[in-house]
Amino acid sequence: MQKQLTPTEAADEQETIAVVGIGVCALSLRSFEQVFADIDPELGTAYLVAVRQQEGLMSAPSLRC
Amino acid sequence: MPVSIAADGELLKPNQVFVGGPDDMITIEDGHVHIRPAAEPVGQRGTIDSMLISIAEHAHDRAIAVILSGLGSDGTAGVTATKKFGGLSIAELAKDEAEASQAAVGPLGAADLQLPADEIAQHILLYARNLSQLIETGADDEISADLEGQITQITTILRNVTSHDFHGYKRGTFTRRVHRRLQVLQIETVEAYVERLRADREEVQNLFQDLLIGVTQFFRDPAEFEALEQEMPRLFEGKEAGDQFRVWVLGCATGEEAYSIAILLREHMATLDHPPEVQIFATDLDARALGLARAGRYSSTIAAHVRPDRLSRWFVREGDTYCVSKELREMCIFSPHNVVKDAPFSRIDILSCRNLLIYLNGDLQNRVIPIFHFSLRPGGVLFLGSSENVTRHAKLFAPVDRKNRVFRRLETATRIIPDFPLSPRTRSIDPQIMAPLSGLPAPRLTSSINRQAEAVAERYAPAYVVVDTHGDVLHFSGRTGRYFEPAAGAATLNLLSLAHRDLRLDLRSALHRATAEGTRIEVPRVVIRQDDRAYAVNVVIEPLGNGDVTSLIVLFQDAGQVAESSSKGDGGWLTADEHVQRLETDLRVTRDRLQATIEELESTNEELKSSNEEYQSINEELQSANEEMETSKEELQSVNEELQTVNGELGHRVSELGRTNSDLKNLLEATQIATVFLDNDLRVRNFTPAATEIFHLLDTDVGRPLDHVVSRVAYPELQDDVRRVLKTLSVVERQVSDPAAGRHFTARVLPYRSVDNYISGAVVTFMDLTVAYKAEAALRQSEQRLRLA
Repeated sequence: MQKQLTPTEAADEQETIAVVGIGVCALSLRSFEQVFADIDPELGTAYLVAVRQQEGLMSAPSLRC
Repeated sequence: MPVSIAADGELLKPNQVFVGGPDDMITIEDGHVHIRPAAEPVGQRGTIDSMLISIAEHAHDRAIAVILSGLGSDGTAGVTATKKFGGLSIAELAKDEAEASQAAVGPLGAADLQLPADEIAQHILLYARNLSQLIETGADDEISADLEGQITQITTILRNVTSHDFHGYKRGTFTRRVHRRLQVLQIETVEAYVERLRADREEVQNLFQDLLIGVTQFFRDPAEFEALEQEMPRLFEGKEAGDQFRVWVLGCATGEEAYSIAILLREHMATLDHPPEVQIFATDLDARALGLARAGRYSSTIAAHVRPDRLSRWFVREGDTYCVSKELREMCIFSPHNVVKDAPFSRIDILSCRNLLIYLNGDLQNRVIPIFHFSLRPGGVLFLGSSENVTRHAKLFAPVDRKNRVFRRLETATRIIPDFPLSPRTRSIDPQIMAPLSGLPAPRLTSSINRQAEAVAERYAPAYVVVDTHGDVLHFSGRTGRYFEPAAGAATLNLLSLAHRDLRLDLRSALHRATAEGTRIEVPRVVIRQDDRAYAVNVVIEPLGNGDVTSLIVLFQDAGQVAESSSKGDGGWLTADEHVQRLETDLRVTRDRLQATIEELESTNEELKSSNEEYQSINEELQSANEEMETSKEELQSVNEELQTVNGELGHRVSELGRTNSDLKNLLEATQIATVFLDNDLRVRNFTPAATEIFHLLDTDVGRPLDHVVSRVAYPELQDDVRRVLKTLSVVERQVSDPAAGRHFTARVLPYRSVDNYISGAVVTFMDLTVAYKAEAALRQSEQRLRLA
């Protein structure tokens, strides 16, 4: 069971956590999969993914898979 | 790893992926994920930039920006912000772009690393692990302490390579930037980094560019821009529609200054009835910075430097970023240029060179400022930075506003030719200069002169030569050997050098008289000695040609051998009277010769004087022509430079178009939605590969009416639907099916809006719903079975 962090611990974690921002669009889904296939799941970094929406394409459902 | 569609307010956690929804803006605020619906239409949201900027502001050097391919310019402001706050930026190097990567000057050329997709994870891992080690071991502080000791060495290397002196740069910012380079390159010690700098000039440039981040801003030194604004009415005076107003912004970096001047110009142009065409050449050494300038996208912090009215008028808000308006962007041509090495632009009205001269030493400044003078039109304005001046060139520029560094170009009495940057070239050798080197001249006798000479020669039938007025032989007859005795030295055809030495004196005076007087001259009984014998020769010179004397014939009539006693002349058998008479004759002849020689000399002197004057005049003309040529050459170089710049810009746009085209092609193929584009006459304009499953379409069918193409689906109303859509601009939707294949589709007909918002046709799409239909049928059957049961 995951340990509940105190507010101070959470704040400390925020101070040290590296954040990876990834910009992606429908044309780069293969690359996106490739990047995440190689990433160490225990690296300790947080990942934010922003999807550049293109008319007529639904990228987000693909990401959910 | 847990992946979730991010919800607003979620706490940022390690080893978790937060994905922004398709219509959401995802950012970080106080360590929490912030989600808000996108307010702008698709294509103008700046989704990626907004997220990356917020991550950079939150995580500083712990921020890692990853830009995958296909994003266009979205992400450039994010990359800049990440670098500014000390983080790492990585751009995906698409496989087909690999070869061109080194020369890439696009927006993503600014990223720290350009890597193929399969190497990105590895670099994220290295960077993140290195970061956590630094924090755990406290090595971060050690590096900072080491850096303090090495700053002088690093700044010296920077000064040697880039000519920029960072000794006075803010210490904190400087160490942060160097520190960041260490992390990007995964170098552990400052000493190793200094060694790298010594060995790798490109890394010096990378550090230099990092140090320049954030230095430039919109309307930096507002009072100075106001002073420039005051000058606008004078600069635009007399300019009408069709005229050109040209601006050159040197050292434009990421474009803020060029766009600031563009705003001032646009605002003034709005007050004119017929404004001229304005063109801004914005140049810099750094192609990567130019890529950012071309993208024209900036973080929302620019709001601190740009007035709200200008912000709303000249920028388009895209998420948390601002994009310069199309009007401003189209005014600017960004191009790499080195003011010291490349030819300058010419006929410039405003030349802005702010905070660039301070990095040039005195000698370079003395070379560059006359180039500015050359570039500017008379009365043009030079706009400098707050620490720069041109007071040492008071003849070239006068202050308009000394405090705010606005100077006006002065007209100079003589044209100042600057020390123009020139490329070495091979001078072509003047063929006229080359001619004497190629051998002896080979003049030809004209047939008319030849005929006349032959006619005269026939009369006398002696040996003869034809010479020009300078005594150069044009033609020899036979049997002239006796009369010639070429002088030692360089080969020549001059008669006076060729003639027997006993003949030379008489020939010289006779030739001169014949040429000067244009009459026949006869010199009787000239004695020449050969083989201890003396011969008498009558020399006759007669001018040839019609009117002006252009050539002369010199005839040698043999007058027989002279008796020895007579030839010796001083024999002891002569009487005293005879002796005196002989001496008197010799004296008279000598006097005559002397007189002829003196006259010839005087005449030659006169000619030389006259020639000298002519040469002086020609020399001056040549000098003047040379100066004109120099000017023309400089102007041509300038025009050439300009053409290269425009060409570069066009090339850049063509490559952007190519990329967009490729993206669109991929997009259309990836959608699997059968789409047919029709024009207003219902002719096929384009179609996606999936459309060939609906219609029997071939590539050659483009341009054919749609009703000529056989459809696989039963959709007889298609033509009517398209016409209705073109008339009403509403969307028509129908369920259609392909009975043969048992497939079902949703057909939609929409108006085709061009970029200019004109309706130039219709788009027909077919969405395959066969699976849904089958599922529905199965469900119905199942329900039916259940009911029966």
